Amino acid sequence: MTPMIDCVMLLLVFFMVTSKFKSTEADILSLAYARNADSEERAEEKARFVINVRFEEKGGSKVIFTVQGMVFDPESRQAMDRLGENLRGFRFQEPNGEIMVRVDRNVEYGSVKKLQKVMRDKLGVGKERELKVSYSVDPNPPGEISQ
Amino acid sequence: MKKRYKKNDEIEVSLTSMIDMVFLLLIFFMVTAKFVLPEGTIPAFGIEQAAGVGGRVSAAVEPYEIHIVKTEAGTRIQGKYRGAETQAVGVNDLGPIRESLEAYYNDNLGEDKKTPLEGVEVTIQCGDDVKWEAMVRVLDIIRQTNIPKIRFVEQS
Repeated sequence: MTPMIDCVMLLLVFFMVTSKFKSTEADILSLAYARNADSEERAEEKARFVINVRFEEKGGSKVIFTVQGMVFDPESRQAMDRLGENLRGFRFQEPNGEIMVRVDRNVEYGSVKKLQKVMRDKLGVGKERELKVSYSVDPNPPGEISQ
Repeated sequence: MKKRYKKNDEIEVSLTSMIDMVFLLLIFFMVTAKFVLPEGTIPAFGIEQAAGVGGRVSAAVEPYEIHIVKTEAGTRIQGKYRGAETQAVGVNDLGPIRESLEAYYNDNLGEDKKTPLEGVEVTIQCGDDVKWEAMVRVLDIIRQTNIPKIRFVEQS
């Protein structure tokens, strides 16, 4: 009995130590592969504003932006204004924080462009260098992609 | 009447409830655990109006222009610099574009042959219907060439 309890205890400790409860900020989506991606520097104390750009439902075609469970419709001007205000609020509260944009690889560029415009108009992304904005990518090759 | 224990009596602790609990915890962690692979990042670049392409060109160096469009044959990537055009269809073989970008970078190095001249940059115009995956592949090869600046430009 003793070796079995030892074994079970070891497994239990392993799972307790390695398991990390899923944060609500990062949705499960399929990221695009990039060979020369920077490794993610995850300083725990650094605040992050994560924007997910993904399809509303699996197999669906409607694209949405999500931020910590909040859903923003890129087709709605009011929603984009609200997202812009959220971004501004984050920047005001966390001047050294970073913005992460996680885009599903099958989303079309037109949707990302809308987000780029919101960031340009509300935060001046592309004009001010001190603001850190990054796209999340998958550093592991998925194989050849469809043309 | 007091119960008397014999000297050699052993106190037995029941382990059953503890083992039950440990098993429950183990099953919980095994079921909920999900191994998350680390993600990579690439810096985000700003987007500008199409008019900015001409307006921002410095006198010294003109930018390398990349146009990405979706066609029936696949995603077409076109690189333009000083009138010369390089083209690739599909994003699995972007070798010609990378070679052309490397040539652009090497042509515009400073006197020390290490630092690029001011104004060395790539502008990208991309069709709205191009998949993000293709765009990331293009950004990836630009980053391989050490070109310091990338700008997205709205299609005119």
